[in-house]
Amino acid sequence: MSSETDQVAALDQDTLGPIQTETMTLNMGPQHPSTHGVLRVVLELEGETVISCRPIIGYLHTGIEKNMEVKTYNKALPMTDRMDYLAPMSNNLGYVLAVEKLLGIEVPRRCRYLRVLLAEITRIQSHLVWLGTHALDLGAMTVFLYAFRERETIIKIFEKISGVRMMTSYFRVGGVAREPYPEFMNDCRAFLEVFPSKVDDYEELLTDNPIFCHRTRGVGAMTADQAIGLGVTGPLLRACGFDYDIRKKEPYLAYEEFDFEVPLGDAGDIYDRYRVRMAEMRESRKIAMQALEGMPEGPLMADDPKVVPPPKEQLAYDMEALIHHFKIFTEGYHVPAGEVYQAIESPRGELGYYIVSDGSPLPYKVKVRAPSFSNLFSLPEMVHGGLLGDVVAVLGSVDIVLGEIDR
Amino acid sequence: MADEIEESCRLKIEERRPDERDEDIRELRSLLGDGILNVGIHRGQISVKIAPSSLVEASEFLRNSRGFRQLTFLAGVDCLELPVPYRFKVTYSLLDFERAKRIRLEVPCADDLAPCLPSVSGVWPGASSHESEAYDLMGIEFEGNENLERILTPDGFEGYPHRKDFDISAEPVVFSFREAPAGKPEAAE
Repeated sequence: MSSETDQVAALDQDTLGPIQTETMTLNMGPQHPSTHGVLRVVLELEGETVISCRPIIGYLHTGIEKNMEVKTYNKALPMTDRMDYLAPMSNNLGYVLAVEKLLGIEVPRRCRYLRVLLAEITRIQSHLVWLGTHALDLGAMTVFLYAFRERETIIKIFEKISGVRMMTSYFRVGGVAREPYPEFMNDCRAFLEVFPSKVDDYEELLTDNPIFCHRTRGVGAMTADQAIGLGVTGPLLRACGFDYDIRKKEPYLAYEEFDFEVPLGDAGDIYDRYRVRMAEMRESRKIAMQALEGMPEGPLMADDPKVVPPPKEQLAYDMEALIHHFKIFTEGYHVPAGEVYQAIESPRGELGYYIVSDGSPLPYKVKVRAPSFSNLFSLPEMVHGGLLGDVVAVLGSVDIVLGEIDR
Repeated sequence: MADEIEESCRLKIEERRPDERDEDIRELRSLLGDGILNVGIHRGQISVKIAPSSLVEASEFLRNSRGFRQLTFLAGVDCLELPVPYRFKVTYSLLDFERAKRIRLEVPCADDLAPCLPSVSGVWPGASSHESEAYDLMGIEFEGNENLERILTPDGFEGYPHRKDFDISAEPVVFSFREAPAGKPEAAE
């Protein structure tokens, strides 16, 4: 690649003489099948080589954070689904954990296991979308169809448990929305049991595929130091060989009770990111199985009647339950004043919620630290000096979701 | 006898100020002195209020000497309705990977009408995009960041949406065949 640019440069000086050359500015997006959302990338090209790259965002900005300031904490919850729309339960989880921290309430152990199970299944589902769309960008259409076939199984489980295929809002402050349906555990087990053989199928198609390797090995590399300085987190950082996974280092829910590995890359190129995410799917499956097998008995919701609405039947005979229900759904619960930042390991990296409370039932300020926001702005580093075709490959490997970048 | 009394007094002081038990806070205090306005701990999370003039020094110190290699995010907060004497503040969240430790810096802006802070993009390159976002949504300027631009709001947008006095009630739809209401951008042809 670099020798070609040298040849072109040599050609310029010796053969072409005093012909003026200039770089070309090419606009990619915001409508583009490979930008994974409404992203605009302005590329400056010298022939096919990328000299500079400037991502322009804001096409999906809907003011979610501002909107959350005028809603009660419960009403603001469904807005979180819509940010990283490919891993909705992750968003819910981060928000719910932050509010529970502000409130100072703990959820029971069964709820934590259930949340882990669903969070890991969400991770698998999100990585399947990444895999399918990334492979599709590189021309491997079969993988896309296989990945989305598996994802259908998961989405059907989400629909049965919450009523919604994607934007579930299943995790609520103080617990979950409702009891899982009776066959939930069996459905999860059935999926998790066949899943490893499916991952084997995907790897058979891509891992040693010469075309895939040629397009991804050594392409779009970044060092761990560059990544850290730019605020990159998640599989992108781990592919550079840097070991930091919030589930291991700052465990939340019940992650310290589960046995799992954190896959690492070493070259930080697209191929390593692919290997890391594939291995992460296997690890997620392991964690989900452990959560499933070890699911304890017990209450599902936190024991705080001011925050957790009472069961519907109680409203018919219990006055207090009726009053609590009314207050929770109209005025909302008062959250003690203070600030908290809760970070979780979402499929894309560190997803954090910084919530400022002024003691009222409405959040005073919500700032969502979206992993894709920082990850995207490492794009210029990664594509500089590369070819135009590599930009698409690199962008797919970053695994961005414009919903959380723009909010 | 006097030593024992002094010893017990010192212990009591440490008991009363749990934030002083933290190594990073102590080091920061010895570096900045008056630059630290307040230290708070809420729900186990440390938050240090720093004067704007000490921000870059504190950032460099925390990154180079204390190991806070990553700036997780920075966010502007409009404290108009909070019981504090300033209007704008910017919160920085730092992460030390080795110790899996997080610390928050809160920097109140000196001027309520034209909030301005020094940029930390020289310390953490990734801060540049976050500062652009804070500028775009809150109107806080960051000196030393040449790439400060409106990255989220549309081109030609006026106003700073995340401020508390920004009106988010219904806005009349703008058509090209009639005049836009005062202060709103004109519709394109």
